[in-house]
Amino acid sequence: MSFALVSTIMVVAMSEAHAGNPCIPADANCDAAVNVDDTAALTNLLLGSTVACDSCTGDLDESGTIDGIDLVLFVDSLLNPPAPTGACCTGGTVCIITTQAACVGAWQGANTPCDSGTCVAGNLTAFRPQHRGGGYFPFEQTTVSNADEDDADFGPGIRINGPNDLDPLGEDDLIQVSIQVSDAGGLVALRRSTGALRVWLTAQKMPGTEIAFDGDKTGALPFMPGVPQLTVWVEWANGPHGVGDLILEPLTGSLEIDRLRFHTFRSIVFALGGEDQVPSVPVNFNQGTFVVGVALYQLGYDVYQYDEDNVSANGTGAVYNEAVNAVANRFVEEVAFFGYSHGGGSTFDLAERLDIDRAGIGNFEITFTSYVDGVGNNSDFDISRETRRPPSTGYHANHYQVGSFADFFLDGGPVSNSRPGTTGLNVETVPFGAGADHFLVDDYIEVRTFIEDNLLLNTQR
Amino acid sequence: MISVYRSIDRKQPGSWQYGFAVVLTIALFTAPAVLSAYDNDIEREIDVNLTVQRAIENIDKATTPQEFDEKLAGLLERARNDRTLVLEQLLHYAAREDATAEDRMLTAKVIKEMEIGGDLVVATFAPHLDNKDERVRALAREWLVHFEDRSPARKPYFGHYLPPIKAELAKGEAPQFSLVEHMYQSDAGLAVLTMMRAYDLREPAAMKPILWTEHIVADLIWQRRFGFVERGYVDPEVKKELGNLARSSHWWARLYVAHVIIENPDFADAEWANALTRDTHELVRAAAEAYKAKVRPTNR
Repeated sequence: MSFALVSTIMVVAMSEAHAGNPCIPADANCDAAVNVDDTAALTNLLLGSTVACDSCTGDLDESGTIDGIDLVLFVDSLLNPPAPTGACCTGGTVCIITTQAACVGAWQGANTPCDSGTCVAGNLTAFRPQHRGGGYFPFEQTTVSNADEDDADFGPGIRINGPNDLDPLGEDDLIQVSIQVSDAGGLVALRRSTGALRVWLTAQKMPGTEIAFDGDKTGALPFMPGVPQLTVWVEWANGPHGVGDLILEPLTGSLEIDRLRFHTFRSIVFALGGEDQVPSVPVNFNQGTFVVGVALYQLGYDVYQYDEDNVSANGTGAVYNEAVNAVANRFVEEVAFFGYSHGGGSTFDLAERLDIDRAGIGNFEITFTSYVDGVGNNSDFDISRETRRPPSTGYHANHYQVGSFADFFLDGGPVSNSRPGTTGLNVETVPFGAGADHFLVDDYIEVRTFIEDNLLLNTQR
Repeated sequence: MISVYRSIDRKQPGSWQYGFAVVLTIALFTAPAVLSAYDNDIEREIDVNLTVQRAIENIDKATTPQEFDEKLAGLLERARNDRTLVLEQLLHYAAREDATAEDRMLTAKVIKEMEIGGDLVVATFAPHLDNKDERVRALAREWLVHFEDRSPARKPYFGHYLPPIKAELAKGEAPQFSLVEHMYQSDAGLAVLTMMRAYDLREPAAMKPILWTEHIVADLIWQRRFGFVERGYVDPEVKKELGNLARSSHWWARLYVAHVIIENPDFADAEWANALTRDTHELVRAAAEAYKAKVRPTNR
């Protein structure tokens, strides 16, 4: 019998045992190792001067007797020692004992046993980005689905957190990731595909809370005893743009337990409500602009929802500042925004301001804008139609209705070079919009879908 | 203007003062709004005219286009006889606690149909920057903004503010402080130039330091905005000239300095910025305190 066969039998025997102290024929002194220390014990067995310490001990050829052939095989095993065996994690909590070479998974080291926590099942869950100094308002905390989490488009988006990025309300650019494991005592680590990814235990990057990488892998993640869940915060610490993976692995070996694929945000999207429309959680389904914003957020865009008064009549304000910061300090290349009623007027004002100020902001394109019944927004009392095309926009959508006494004659109107058609759509001319008024026009699913679909086509994430 | 009378009456209850108040009341009712004396120490109120309120509400409740046009025409007819009254009632209607965006849009529609100019709207609504009711103050402010015709492409228009301020000064009165404050918050550079005209400063030697400071401050902001200098760069001459203007004999020039450093705290020099908090003029002191409050966290 060749040693290879002996070795195989031994592995199978141990595989069946999974854990504990399987019988090793060459381990004549039963110390779980085959080495020169077994020589004396084997000699004693040959001479019959001692009793085998385990059922198979000394019977290397499994003949049922201990004789010279066993001695030859023993010497052979000393001169050509078998590869050590140890626990091999093959996925989830499945553990087998095998050699490193035979391990299809993460080999845990020589002589490691398959204990309950040796192989750990786990799951990474990423969330959509935070806002306004931390937390998720004006969105609900939104998980990235398992189906999407390793997709370069639909997976978790992340802002480049450049050194000059302004967070006046506090750090909010880190992505929350929840790590669940099957056993809190199991040793797992994170591997990253790019050094731009950093991992923290606090959303605000408190000193001393960064999880260090040695090369591209962390040490054992610091689960609390008995708590098989850990929240970490992922940062894309600097440019350039890219896609980066964060992989949950056993501490030893490189078996992938779960993977997140992050894409850096190249765009920023603003949804501007109408007069008195304020973003809320949960979203008000009578505020179609914010419904579209939520849908785009769930699709992996960096979306900001604003009361339109955050764009002043000269285009400045919180929305402008956010756009400038994104372009100047977070390497954002594309800006898209849309608004309803006065939010349409604010869309024009913002576009004009951004266009005028380009030299001081940096390189960016306004890839998409949209009005729904756009009304000028020189003030809260402005009731003029907004029919000017937002300056320098690459694509402009326009939906409107014709006002009547019922809505105090508030309405938008045709805008040149707008879609659908050539000047936008008077929704009252199509079946879904029959009987529309100013207060309904933003809520039609056809209008919302048109905005969503065409922003998707014209703006990268 | 009824509210002015009421306030004076409340503050000066003596018999001779009562007689004075009656005379003043008559004067106020008969004079254009811009000629009434402005008292910076009183809070205003709108006397609710239930007839006009009902007329506005009836437009709101119209169920047919014909009824809407009819009710609107009725109110416009009333407005032809007393535009100030109707404007104030519209302001009250829009500022009611339970008023909706739709109510405000209705009042905007009526005011648009009244076809009146910014001068009258400002003259009527500016005093309500001192209204007791915060909602009225906010809407009055919004109407002023409306007639400033702000745009990303140009400066706001402050021409409507000049007549009421000049009128007060011509009577030897202080201008309406809340209106002045509104101007400086809107555009400090344009405000100081407007005040220079309102105060009739005509001596070139007196005008040039103000013009020059406003110019170099605006130029530095422009250079920062368009990336000709780093966003944090401060031209030392700007600090120097602002320091000189902080010692101006004109309170409205010092007010300009205080507002510039609220918007651009890095333009300030601690020595003269602190001195502004002890200024003789209350608006300057308040603005300088606002600057201090803004920079305080970063000084800790």
